[in-house]
Amino acid sequence: MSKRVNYALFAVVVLAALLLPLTSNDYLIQVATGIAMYAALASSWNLIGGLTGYPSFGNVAFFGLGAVLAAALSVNLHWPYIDAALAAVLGSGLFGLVLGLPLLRLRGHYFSIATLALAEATMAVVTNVNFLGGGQGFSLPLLGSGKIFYYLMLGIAVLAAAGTYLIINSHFGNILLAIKSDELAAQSVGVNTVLAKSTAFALSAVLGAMVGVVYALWQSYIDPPTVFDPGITVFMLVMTLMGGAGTVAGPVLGAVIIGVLTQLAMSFSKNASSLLLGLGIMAVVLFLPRGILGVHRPAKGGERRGARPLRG
Amino acid sequence: MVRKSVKLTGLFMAVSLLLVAALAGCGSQGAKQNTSNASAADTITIGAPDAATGALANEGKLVHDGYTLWQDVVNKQGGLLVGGKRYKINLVFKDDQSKPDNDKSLTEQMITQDGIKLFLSPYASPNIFAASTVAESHKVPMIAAGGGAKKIFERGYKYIFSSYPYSGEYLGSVLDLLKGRGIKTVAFLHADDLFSQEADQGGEAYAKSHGFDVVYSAQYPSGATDLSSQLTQIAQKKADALIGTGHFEEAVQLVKQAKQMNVNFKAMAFTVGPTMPAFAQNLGKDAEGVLGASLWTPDLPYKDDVFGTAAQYAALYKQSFGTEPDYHAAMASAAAEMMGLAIQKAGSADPQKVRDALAGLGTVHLFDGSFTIEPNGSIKGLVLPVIQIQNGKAVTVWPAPFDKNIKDIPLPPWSKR
Repeated sequence: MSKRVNYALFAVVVLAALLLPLTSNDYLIQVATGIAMYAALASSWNLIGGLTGYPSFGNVAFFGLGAVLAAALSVNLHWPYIDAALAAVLGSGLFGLVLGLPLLRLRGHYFSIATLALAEATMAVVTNVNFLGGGQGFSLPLLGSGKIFYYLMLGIAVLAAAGTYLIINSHFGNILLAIKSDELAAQSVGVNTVLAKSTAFALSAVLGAMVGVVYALWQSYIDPPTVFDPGITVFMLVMTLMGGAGTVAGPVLGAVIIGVLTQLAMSFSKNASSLLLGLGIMAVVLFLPRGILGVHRPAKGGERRGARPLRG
Repeated sequence: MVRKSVKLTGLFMAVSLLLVAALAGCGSQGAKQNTSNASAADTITIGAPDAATGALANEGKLVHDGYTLWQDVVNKQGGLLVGGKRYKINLVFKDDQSKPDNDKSLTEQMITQDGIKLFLSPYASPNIFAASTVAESHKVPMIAAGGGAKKIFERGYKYIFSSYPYSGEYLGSVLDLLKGRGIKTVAFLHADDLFSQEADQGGEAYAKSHGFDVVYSAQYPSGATDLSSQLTQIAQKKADALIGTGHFEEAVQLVKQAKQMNVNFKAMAFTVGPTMPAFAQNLGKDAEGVLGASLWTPDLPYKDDVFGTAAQYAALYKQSFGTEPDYHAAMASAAAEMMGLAIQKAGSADPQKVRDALAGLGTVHLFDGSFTIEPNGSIKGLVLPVIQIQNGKAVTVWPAPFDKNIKDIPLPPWSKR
């Protein structure tokens, strides 16, 4: 019954988001597109960072690679954009799967630093390969309405949230939770942790790349420093932590709050927007270490360590 | 537990709705403010996303000041004379934090919320790419000052114009100067960003077609802190001249390392670096004789009705901002002037009319030189000056008659300095 209520609320939120363009102007749609984009990106980060407990600092690599590959295939090989986009998403997923195998052998800080290096290395390679646009980047044709991109980003965000929900409530989700809670124990009961982690990483990569291919067309110009900006990873991470890591709605909530606050800060105070945002993030880290949704509910897949002291 | 989650989803929705309402409210506030401005009827509002903070803040300030100087000078003259009536100019700046995606949303915001229909661009080519796509889709004109990437003008856009020549043309004057000084072999070294690549490719093509022997060409990552291995290779090729296309720090680095490694050139030239006062301050006497590609200097013999001569422009700028203007500021002022000319020609601030007027401006004569607006929005014909560091100062040494100022080319070896 209350599960039904949850579904109903989900439907209402999606419906409201779908109807937004009818009532608002281009600027609001632009902001909403950005928020939907970050909701999708944060949800993609949540799969590896929140559910599996591997804090990746390099997820922007998949976003950037998706954007660059799609642009390269459509501009250099004259593929229809939809084909280029599919190839870019599959390519990035494969890239995540293959690189996940060695990277996910590292844990904690070592994993974070290795993924940070992965993103930087990917950018360096793209910058020096002419087929991938080099340092000059790509110009793509300008497409008419901003609404298309809003719906595309929203679609990916919904897909990411629904996917997260399905994973959390699946056997696969339980494996990821087991890895997060105690990887050694999971291994010892016969769970193929390497495969599970790499799959989560690859899914995260696929979602990130999907956002990337839409972003490239939306912006119509991309260059490596923009699409491989480490700040994008930081946003994914901060939004997820703020909303509640390991939850379905957490990354979306984080993206909405930070997305709106950023725009408000930018229109109210020219110079202090980063400062305000930084203060907000500090406040969350200090007062809501488990995120907004995490405070009330240790969600399935959420941080469980708090229970330990009770057990002695 | 499940009931709780329902409550939370409710909370989540309430918070989102509240935030969206706040955002919408903030937007409409902005719109209201501006309609009151526009209804003042004797004001023309021009928007400009600019880099007030972030990695491009230095150049961003120069561009900001360049635009502002035009506004202040025009307003001091009573306003812009359009169809027999004088209009005050009101520039609206919004900080893009040097990030291209902010330029996109800020431009959108200024067009749809604030009702601004005329634009000057943010600084740097990637930012112009982003902002110009929004201007194009809303059919409002934007004049770019701060990026000469050819790709900006190869997209078939109708609403983007520029006061800058293509990046690929920056090195032409330097090579002309070197040719007259008996330089035959040149080594090119460039960074991997958009501007450096285009400037380098243009320079290399010009060199080859003008009888130079390009003995070395390589790319390095932006922000490289050690270029000694490249210098070693260049030394083996025995190049007469080194032409570096990158950023300030890399130009300083190359001169320092060339001295340390005793790699001698008859001439050294950079696209970015020597024009900035910090270059000579940083390198001291090692900077002597180094050439810099520039787009404008106060010595140039041009003038117009708004600023007067190039020298008078420099004086006005110094009076307002306390420092000497460099070419970023001057080119920005020129872009703003182009906007003024187009509004006057159109006889209105209507975006479509101003766009058509810009496209039909033809050849204009401003304090930064004479140039022609091309059908794709770029410009042609601007004569680019070259400067040389002499006694710690940037001296104009190109075009003629300034070539009589050239000193020490070929440069003395490091051991004899």
